[in-house]
Amino acid sequence: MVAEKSSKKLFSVTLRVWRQAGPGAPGRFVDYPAKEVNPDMSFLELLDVVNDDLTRRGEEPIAFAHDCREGICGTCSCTINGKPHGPG
Amino acid sequence: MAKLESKIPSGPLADKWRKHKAEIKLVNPANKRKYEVIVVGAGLAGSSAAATLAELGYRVKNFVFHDSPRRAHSIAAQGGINAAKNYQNDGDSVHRLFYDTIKGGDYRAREANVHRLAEVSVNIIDQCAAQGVPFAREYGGLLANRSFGGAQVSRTFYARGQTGQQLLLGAYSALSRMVGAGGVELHTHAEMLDLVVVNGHAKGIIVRDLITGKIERHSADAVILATGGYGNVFNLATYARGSNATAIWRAYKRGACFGNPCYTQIHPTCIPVSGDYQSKLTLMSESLRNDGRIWVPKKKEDRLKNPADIPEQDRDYYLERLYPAFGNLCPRDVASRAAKRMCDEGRGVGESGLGVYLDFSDAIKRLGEAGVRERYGNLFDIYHEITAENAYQTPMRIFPAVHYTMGGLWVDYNLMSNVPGLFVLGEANFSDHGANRLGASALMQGLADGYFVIPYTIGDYLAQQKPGSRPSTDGPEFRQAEENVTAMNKRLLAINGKEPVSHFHKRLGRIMWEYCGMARNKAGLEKALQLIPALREEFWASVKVPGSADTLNQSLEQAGRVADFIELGELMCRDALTREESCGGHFREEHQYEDGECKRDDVNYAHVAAWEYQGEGKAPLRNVEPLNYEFTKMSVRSYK
Repeated sequence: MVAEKSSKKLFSVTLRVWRQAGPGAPGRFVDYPAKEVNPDMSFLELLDVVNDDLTRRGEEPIAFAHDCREGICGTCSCTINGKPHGPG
Repeated sequence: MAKLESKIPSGPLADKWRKHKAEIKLVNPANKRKYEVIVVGAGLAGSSAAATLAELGYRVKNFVFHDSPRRAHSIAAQGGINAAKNYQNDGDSVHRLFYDTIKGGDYRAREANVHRLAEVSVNIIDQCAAQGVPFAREYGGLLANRSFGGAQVSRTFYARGQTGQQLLLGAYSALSRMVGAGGVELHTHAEMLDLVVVNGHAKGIIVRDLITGKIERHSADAVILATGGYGNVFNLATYARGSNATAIWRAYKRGACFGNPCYTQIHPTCIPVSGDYQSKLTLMSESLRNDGRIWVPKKKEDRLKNPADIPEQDRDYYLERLYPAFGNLCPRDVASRAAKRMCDEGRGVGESGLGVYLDFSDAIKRLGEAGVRERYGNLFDIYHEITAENAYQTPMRIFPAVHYTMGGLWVDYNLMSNVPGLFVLGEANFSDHGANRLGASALMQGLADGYFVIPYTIGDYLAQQKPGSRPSTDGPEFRQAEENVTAMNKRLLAINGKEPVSHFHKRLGRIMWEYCGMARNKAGLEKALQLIPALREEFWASVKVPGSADTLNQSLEQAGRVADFIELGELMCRDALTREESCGGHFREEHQYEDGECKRDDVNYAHVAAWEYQGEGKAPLRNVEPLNYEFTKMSVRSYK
């Protein structure tokens, strides 16, 4: 499938993720760098890319609830900067 | 060789369902509570079935892989639900809805099933209105309608651009009432991974708890699968990421025939792809085509120009030009192929050239921005969320995307598979839509199956099962099925290869889109039938599935689903290759008229292809159910 090329500039971002093995287990913040992020990506797609990279490197991917990827089902309940679906 | 008996009742078309209800066996009210029914899935078809069967008095166990039934992908459906109520007094009737659906399906659906669907459609709206579903209403308070593709009447009931959500919340509340009353035992985070067949009858399932990883055995007197469609074989589709074919695929491997797998629907209006990382394609409802006009520039050199700078006389409103009788509301397969032809000619818009305009400027002049917002507001918001463009000021850019699967497990008139005791509802089954589904008919079919068909027809099967004869989960078939599931998960985790599951899913998706997408041909399908087995071997040799089976493990979940998609993709290509004609969503380039329309072969292919699993490494068997049209004349399907 041919993709439209984005004319936007790619950027890098560091994700600071709270990792916890399960309820009751101790947890901690872990930093994950994400390079060459396309601003056309959704935040969940960014997590997919980070996870693929973690999997290839033999590390444990970040488990996150998600489904519709279009803002209707409520599974991810993602808020960005405190806003559901992110700032408009 | 599977025995395919459609069990279509005799007699005049309009009498078959009434006659059938009078003749099928009943389960005595006091006996119903002695029967347990498993329902897998709780989208529109699953929730409506589980709620209604529980209301009748059956004991229902409902399994969903989400945290709640309200997450089913039915929630994303946008545009509307058809019903033959003729509120607009524009000539609609049960017969007209029947005829539009049969023709829309390119004369490849079962007449009796489609007529029943049209008949019960009128009850669905009343049921949902009684549940409090907030359908759009006209000023005086009566239910409103809009038009959808493939019809020249306005018969679609809707709730803004979120009809699926509202209908699902209605069905979910009906389900929740029965959960509270004790009629339905709801199991969440539970994924069905195998079907248990005892003495040839479906009597249970194997389930994996997605949080703890625990494998469970569940038995019942009958099993209903309402697990949705398999469009995610293409990876990029309008489906949710979790939507999968695993329940029906594992049932296929236990003997349930798979009907017409190559009948896939590509929806003409979705937001175009913007990158390799893309995880899904977002639907822009067909209802938008009521008021939006589709066009591309007449001249190739204008394609990258700002659309506001392209004057009217240089715009090609090609659907209005090619199909004057239906214009922008021609059926999906027709509209998708037309979009592809425009882009193949080099007049597609957007940087990739894979896009066409859906323009609302005329509608805004006619209705005002507020009028357009009232009908479609949330859809324009979704468009803006994803593209950052304001479709009130510039045309939407859209392109076809995989959206629905008309194929699915074969079922008879009672919605029972060739495996007795296994029933399949909604998008998971193959029936009713033939080779192409009309818009707003999926919601109709899911609820028809769940509220108004299965509650009758399941009684005919259960009345023949002695109450209390449900097998114990300690039996050998349950043990074997559990071992099968545990072994597959163990094998996936042990491979410890190099590439994540998504890598294989993307490659499968590209092969399927290229060779088994909008336009198929012999050479391409034969190539796909070499590429997919090779991909399968590579998957089982080098996929990397981290973690373990006895805890939450999303990679393991996806691995099992993609393993099934790879096999199903191969079956789809095989089905497309053997069907040497074009019909509906199955377009073979070798079989077309000069104007690019589908050329059917009613002499040799007026039948359902029901594939039967023959075992690992063996080619499946193609069984055939002839489609004998008694009441409808098969004609060239034209929307001109």
